[in-house]
Amino acid sequence: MRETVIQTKNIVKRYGKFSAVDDISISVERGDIYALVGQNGAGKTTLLKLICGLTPPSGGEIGLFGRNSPAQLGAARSHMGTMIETPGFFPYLSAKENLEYYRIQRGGKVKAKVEDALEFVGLDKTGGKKFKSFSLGMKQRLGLALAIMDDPELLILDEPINGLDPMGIKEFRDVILKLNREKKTTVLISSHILGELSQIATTYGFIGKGRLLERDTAGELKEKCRSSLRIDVDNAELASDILRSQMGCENFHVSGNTLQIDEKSDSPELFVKALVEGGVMVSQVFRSGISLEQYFIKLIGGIEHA
Amino acid sequence: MLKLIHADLYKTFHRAYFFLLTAVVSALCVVMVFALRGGEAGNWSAAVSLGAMLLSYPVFLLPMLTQIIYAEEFRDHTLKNTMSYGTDRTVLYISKWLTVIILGVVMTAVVLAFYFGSTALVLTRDSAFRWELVREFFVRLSAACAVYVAAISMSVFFIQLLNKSTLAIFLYYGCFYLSDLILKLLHLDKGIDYLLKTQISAVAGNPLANLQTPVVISLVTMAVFFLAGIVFFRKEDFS
Repeated sequence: MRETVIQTKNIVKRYGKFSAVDDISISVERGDIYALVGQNGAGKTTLLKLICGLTPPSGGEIGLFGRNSPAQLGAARSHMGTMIETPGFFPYLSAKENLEYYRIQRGGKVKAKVEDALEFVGLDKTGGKKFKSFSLGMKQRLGLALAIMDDPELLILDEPINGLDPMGIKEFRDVILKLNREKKTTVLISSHILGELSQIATTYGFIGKGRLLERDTAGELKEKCRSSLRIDVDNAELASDILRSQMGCENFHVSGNTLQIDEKSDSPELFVKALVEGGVMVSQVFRSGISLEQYFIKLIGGIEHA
Repeated sequence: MLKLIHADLYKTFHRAYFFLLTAVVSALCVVMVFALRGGEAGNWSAAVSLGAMLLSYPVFLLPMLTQIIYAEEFRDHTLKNTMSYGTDRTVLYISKWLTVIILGVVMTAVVLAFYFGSTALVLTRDSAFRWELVREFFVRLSAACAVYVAAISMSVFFIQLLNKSTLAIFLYYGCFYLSDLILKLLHLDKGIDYLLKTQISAVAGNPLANLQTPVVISLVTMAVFFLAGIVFFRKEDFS
């Protein structure tokens, strides 16, 4: 059984009468890339800030690496690398000086870690250029450099690809995957760019109106979003027999002259070939299913109308 | 705590602001000494007496130090990097407060070195000068330090309260220099005795034997603002 790195139990954050985070319990296991998915204002950033200790909770409990008392949480957070909202650095210092500041502050003994982190994100050649002159993409990279500088066991990233160009997004994705695979870094990442998340996430937590709507592993989500095949035929009974006897397919249902096949839909030509050779006339073939985006909208729609 | 202070000193000494501020104040002191030369007050004893009269001026400069150590962290959203590493909030607050005091001590030492150094070089040693005058000046300076530390606590608290450096500076100057007028308008004249402005005036002008009360009032003021600042800081929402 894998170690639980983050465990929140019924965590709540209220601002007056408004609940930004409302009774959320999540569990992130070691080695996971856990994607928090939600609209703007859904409560993703507030949840991450609660986990990082940037805002005190109104209720509930947070556990990190199995520790949950306030003093233990402080020590546990020193094993985390974070990037919450926009990266914050001193505008009058260079990239190296900014990281050096945090190295000193954290009592880091190895000066080379600053250089290594800068090299890792491609900012090692910026020299004395001040942070205030950096592009948004460079600022994001420096934020990531700080997050990974101390070889964290857990990375918490809030909308990390905002402002990055397509090349930067790809590089960022590669960095996350490399850290996860090579150093077994656990990642908790929030974004509303679902296409990007779907390329790295192993687990998804869907958040809406401050509540956790659903938690799925990548496999479960793939299953839920799986596309199916709809074939219009002239003889549904014969077509059903052919599917069963020749294709070994049981996972389908018939509605009038339409067959809805829920498996192997990535090779529709095989079904069509078998049906035609069996004497069934095929008039139309549709691929249907929902994308991650549609699935998310459906989930959010559920809560919007609740 | 030491690591946090070390990092803040690293940050401060890697920019021109603190050096410029210290250089400008030191230069003004030297200019003032040169201005005294040739006149009736162009001697050591007058310069030392003037030094005591100038003890109220550093309170003008203190918000500039709290600005570079503390207020700018709110503006640049850098505190979240420190907090998310698990740093204890109380320890962080105290470290910022101590760093401002350390910078204040460094700045004071440099400015005084320039002031008394230029006095020794440029002005004449008169017959009225006694080393006792210098000792008296440093006793007053020590008492003034209690007022300065209270002023630092007040400035840090206002930054914490407002999260806006400009507003905090206005509030600081307003509190320091206008609160006596406000108390008069409200017919609360008795309260004027407890203001920091009153204490710094007393430190500069009272006989040496009467410096205890201003020091005690300043230390109480410091404690109140310091503790209030910690309470607010512990509840702060960082972004």
